[in-house]
Amino acid sequence: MTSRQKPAFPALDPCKYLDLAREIACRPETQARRTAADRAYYATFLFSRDQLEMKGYMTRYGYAEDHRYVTQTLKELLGFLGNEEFRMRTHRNNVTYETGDVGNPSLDWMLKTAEKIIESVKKLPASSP
Amino acid sequence: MVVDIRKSVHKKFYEPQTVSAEYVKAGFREHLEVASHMSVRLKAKADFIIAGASKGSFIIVEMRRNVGQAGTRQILSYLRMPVVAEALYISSPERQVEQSRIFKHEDIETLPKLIKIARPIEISYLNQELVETLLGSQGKYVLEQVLSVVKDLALEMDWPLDRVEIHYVRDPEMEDWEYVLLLLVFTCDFDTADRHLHELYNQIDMLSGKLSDKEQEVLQRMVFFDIETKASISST
Repeated sequence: MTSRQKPAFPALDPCKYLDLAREIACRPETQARRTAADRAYYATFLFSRDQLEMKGYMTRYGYAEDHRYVTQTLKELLGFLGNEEFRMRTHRNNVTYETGDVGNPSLDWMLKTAEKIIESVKKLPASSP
Repeated sequence: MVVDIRKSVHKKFYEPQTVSAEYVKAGFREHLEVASHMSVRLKAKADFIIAGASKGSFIIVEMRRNVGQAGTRQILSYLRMPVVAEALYISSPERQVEQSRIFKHEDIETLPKLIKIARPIEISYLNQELVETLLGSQGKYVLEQVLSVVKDLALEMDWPLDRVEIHYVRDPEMEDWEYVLLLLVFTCDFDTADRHLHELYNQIDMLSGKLSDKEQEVLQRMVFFDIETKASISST
């Protein structure tokens, strides 16, 4: 019998990314604030993806297409509030890939929108078969 | 009753005139009274018309049709964009118009036409062909409905909405994901624009309930919204 090695990256609750985002959001450096915005988006996306799969609304494929399915499923289930996840992803791409100045939405908007979407997804009932 | 406004209220001011707000109010009250009988579709709530466009000078008259109130009004910055409607061209003013400023009013006869362009929100396509190909005829209908909701709400709520840009987008992360992005360009701060977008969400959700299943699918999968803001022009 072989002993299990401790994984380099143990399992993660995606909401922990949001905690981390809040923690580093108060730092003034742009790299910290951009990372906070990026993590806020990933907290939202990953939490939504896992919950939507667990509740039977979508199948997780584990590759980039999941972004599309999460966005479309959220729009279907939460009305145009699902559009907010789309906006978060757009902004996340800007703050992550654009090294020049990036304007609004603010980091505060990213954090609040992440909270709002996560809370709405939590409240979704399981899909009826 | 349809009244011929040209006969009853025709006046011309050939030279620039300095007028008080009260003068403008009085001068336009009779026009508005007549205009209220015209067969032009107007909102029952507060609306506004633009009159006397000439060389960058504007008179903005707010009309509350059912209570007979009229008054001058600061020009909103979203009216700065050139507007072409029914061959009538209005150039963009360089500054805000305030009460008691110098107004130049050359041809009041244009009033009926001008009423019809009380919704000067520019709609522009960035690659219209691709947008229409992607949406198909059903999607085109959905887009028209969405734009109608945007324009009506912007007018009703007096949004500082400058224009709506309709983009065809091939997603940068997923090449086979194509969609239409409606970018609402506001002349106000981000928080205000964001609040207006949420007001729009409510209306779009209501619209969605009136669409067929197929049309709802187009709306959910292919139509997205975002906002852009630019600083408003301060008066000088």
